[in-house]
Amino acid sequence: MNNFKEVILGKEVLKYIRDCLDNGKTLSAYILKNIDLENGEVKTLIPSNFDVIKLMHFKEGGILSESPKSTWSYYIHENGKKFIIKPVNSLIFYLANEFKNFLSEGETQICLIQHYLAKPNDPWLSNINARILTFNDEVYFLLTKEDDEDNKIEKIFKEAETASPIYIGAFISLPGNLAQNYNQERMLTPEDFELFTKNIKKIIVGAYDGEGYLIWNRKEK
Amino acid sequence: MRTKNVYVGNQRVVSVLNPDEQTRYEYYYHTDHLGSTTYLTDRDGKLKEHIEYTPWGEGWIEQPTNRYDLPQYLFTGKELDATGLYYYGARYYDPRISMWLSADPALGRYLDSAGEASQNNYENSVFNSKNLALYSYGVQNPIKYTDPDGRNAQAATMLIGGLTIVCPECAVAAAIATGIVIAGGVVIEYINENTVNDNNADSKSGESSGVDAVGNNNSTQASPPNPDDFKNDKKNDNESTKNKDLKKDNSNVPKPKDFNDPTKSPGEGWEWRGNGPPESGKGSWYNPKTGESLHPDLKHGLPKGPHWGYNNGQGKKVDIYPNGEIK
Repeated sequence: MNNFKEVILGKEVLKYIRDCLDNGKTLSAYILKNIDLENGEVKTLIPSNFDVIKLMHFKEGGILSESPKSTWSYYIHENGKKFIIKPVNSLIFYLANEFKNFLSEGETQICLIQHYLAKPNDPWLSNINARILTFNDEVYFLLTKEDDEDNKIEKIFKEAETASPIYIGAFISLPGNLAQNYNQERMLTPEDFELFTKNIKKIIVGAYDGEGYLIWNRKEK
Repeated sequence: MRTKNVYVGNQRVVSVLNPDEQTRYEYYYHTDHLGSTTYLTDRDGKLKEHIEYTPWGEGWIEQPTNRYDLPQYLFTGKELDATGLYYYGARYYDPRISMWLSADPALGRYLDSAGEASQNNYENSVFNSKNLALYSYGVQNPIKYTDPDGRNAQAATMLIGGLTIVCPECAVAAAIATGIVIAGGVVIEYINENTVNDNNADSKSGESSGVDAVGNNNSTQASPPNPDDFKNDKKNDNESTKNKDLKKDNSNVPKPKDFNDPTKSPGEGWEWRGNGPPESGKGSWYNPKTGESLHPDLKHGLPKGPHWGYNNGQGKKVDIYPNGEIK
């Protein structure tokens, strides 16, 4: 069994985070506009024995052990070439725990995850576990304390992930009982994004080619 | 075994084994700022060996393929011989004790010029205490200095795009530049004849560096990363043999129509979505009925290399890699 450790990353990581946000949707744009990323600290989880030199290679995979060969398979393309299919491991449990702890702090906490590819009318969205907030053509998965059930958070994470390396989420702590306004599926407005970014506590960015995640924590004043 | 080495300046960039025979192999060196081989690839860009060193040159991580004849030009590009020593020309160096095996041959010269040196040539005189450390390597700073022939330490340089860059204190900058050393300069070819004994070659890749024959580090001096975490490095190892026992895929994982062409849809009902066209890699093929996505990652660097990533929208993630021709 692998052991893991949490590490705090230096300011160099902010360039990667900004690049990811640049390729994101409206939530990302508002984060870039309203949040000074320098005013925060970025951490990630890695295997205890991971080579620190590779730690800053956020676009590269290989931080986790490769899946056992017994799980690999192959197929032969019509052009005669052989291809190998290998399952990819990820540290999604780490992210799920982080969300679970955040949501358990109370009714004021919500989490948003941007789905990088989905549009509001996509048929598959009618069969998923997550509640959805939309903005124009964009889809955001919503998590609140209600979702703090066994495995539900992890399921929603998995639904929000795509094969694209861009994975962005936000932990938001809304004042008063404003969080209740987002309990149900609804369309968002620019004012909602202003409110979210003003109250963001953490930002999640996918890294290591889908294997890991970076968590930016806003420094408390 | 006959070996032909190709150089750019003083930098060995390719070794060709059996250059005139059918069993010809080409190995391309990817070095750090000291000239140490960190990756060895074949002519198709497949990784053949990954090596990392302690600052003094002892092997720290060594992941050879199962080929016995990998070249042994390792730390600072010097050959590690069967004794576990590096031959530098004027003397042998032992990376395990971080010292030369014989005294600095320049001592006599320092003594001869002692009188005048103190006035005009302090650096190369006996009055400079570092010159009296007759067995120490690289002025006790092996990250910054190399000693190309065992006679004189000098700041490491590397050739980038035809420019020679004197080594910065920090090795990271050089590591970034790794892989483009071949980008400029004049290529000079010459042939040297090496006789490689198969048994010796086997022992070189193992015992001499505290790494056993399958790449597991058994050194007690360091706390190395778990080699399991680098298994990706080995994915190209003699694949046609290694992957014989894989099971045939019978899942519903969609297959790229053309591995090298991201513009081709994987099938009916799939749409390209993202912030750029397929060629940009900023997006994925996406199936709005199922939530599946397929992402071409064709510029991905080693060790993973080019691949397509797939996500079924429910947590299943796989990567698809090319594995060569089927005859």
